[in-house]
Amino acid sequence: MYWSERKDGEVIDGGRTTTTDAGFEAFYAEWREPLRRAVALATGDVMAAGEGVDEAMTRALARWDRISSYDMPEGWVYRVALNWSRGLFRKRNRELLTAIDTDTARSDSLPDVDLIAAVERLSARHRAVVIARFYLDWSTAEVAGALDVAEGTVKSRLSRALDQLARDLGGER
Amino acid sequence: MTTLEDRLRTGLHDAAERIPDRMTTTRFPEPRRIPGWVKAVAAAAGVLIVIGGVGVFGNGAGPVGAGEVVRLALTQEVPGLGGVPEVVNSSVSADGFDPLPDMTLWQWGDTGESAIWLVQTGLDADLTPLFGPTADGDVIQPPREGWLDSLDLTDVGWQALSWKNGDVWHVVFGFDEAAVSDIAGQLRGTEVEETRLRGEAPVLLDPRRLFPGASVELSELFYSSPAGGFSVGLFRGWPYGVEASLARLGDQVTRITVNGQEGVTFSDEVNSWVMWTVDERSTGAVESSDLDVATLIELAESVTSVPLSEWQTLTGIEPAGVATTLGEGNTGFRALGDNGVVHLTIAQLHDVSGIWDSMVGTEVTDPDIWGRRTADVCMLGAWNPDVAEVLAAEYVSQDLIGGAANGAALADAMEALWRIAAIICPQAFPEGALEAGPPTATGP
Repeated sequence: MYWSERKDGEVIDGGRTTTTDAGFEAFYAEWREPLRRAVALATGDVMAAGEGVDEAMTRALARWDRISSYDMPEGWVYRVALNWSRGLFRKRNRELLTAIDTDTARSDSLPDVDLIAAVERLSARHRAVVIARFYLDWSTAEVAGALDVAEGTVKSRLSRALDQLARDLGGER
Repeated sequence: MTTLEDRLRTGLHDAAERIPDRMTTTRFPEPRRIPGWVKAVAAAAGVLIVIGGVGVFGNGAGPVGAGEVVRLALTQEVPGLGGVPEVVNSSVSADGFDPLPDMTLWQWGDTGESAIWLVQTGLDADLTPLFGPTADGDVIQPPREGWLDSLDLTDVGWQALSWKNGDVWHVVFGFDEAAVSDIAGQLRGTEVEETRLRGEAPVLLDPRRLFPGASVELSELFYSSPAGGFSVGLFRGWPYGVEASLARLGDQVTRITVNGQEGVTFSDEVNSWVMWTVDERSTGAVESSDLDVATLIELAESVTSVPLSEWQTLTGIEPAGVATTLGEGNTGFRALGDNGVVHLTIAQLHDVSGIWDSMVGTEVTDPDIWGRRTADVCMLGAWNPDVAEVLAAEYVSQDLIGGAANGAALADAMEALWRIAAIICPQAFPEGALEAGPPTATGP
């Protein structure tokens, strides 16, 4: 009733038959959740982040033979998920939600709510870099690869973002 | 002394840990999570140990043991659902994927819409894969373990009652609340000490995302205009249609009639909805975060005048023709299944196919093909070399008889896709990407 008639080694996926790929399963298990949280932080939209990462993961699965050969498949998924979450198909006059409600968080023991509020005031482009660098803990070169920009651009954006954060937080870097 | 960078690392991780599994809202309560029987280790030692035992079913006997529930279930008839249940589960798929170890499932009735099920399993079993919709016997298969981790039973409108005996959970579920309550109460032997897993959050979720393997096809048009954005959608194969929404939303729906067809209105966290039953296998919907319900009903009445057979070509209708109250300036896109499709004008198709022909050397003029390709190009971003390379290789291999492109053809195809994106969706390019020009092949 619930389970498809399947041949060994094949999975029915939306009418498409693909070869089971243990590599993708491991990749999905490792990266789906951290990327969802990262995209949520970067976009401020938890629902879109979940959908975006799932969409990107689906796209990655469909092209896994090729994507898996990249140095950082997770970078590709991060970028596609960001594109999707902010992109063409999301343009429906929807008010962006805030991933972390800082007003609630103030009474909910979020240790550094001022920092999060300051991050949320960064531009989307700066936020994407900051999240990748300091939450996903990617190097500047890896962030550059993931976002498909020059490493110098990443460094420049990081520097400007950190300057703004320092100003917002009333301190020095 | 803590640096700003250290503070960011700590602060972002703290914040990320507080991001909810699902979107929360201040307007509606968060969906009640399935209690302890989601996740953990199965320990259903009592499953299937008692078979048979014809007898009179008794009420009011107090809690009954796991084996007794099985015995009782096997003798319990549900009027109109085909007599006593049969054991239907076999959770181990042919490739060894077994998301539901140590689970036994009984079913009364044999249709996805009217059947009632009883699950007996260990306290820690993950039952989430059970709750995908079925349609006319279609089989739902989560494509990968873990894919449905975020699935909440409440999202799909099931009525379910659960209770436990020792280490064994029992869950009775189905769409008919009265039948679920009746059978659960009888099996429990007394009034069910229930965990009512009824949907509380009216979240209409795209079935494509919830159930990647499902045979549900969503055709949807998105519109925007100065008056406000809205979308028109058709869920083909969405087996429960409006009734599912009613089950999920409870008292929050308002029943309406749209051009003589049963319908409902409701609101979720983001949008107001008008949904109506197109036929037994399809549900229509209009949604908007901007427009009032009266306007949505007006739109729905306009759309319902389109015969179902023409929905597939609905994208050919100029948006202004559908939403006459919204005036000029609308734009429309269409998503079909997992593959988005951009509806191209004849002029756009001419431009797109011309670019491809001149740069790649193959003549492809099918509007459906370019509708799908331009959706990929714009949504995934052909300005990114990785994306462009993957798509270019895919399209060239589709177009060239006999195989994959050589390096030169691939580079040309990548540039062609960038040019196509620049024509169709220049607004989707990141800042500076248009000025930077076409990407070049960089992948392995």
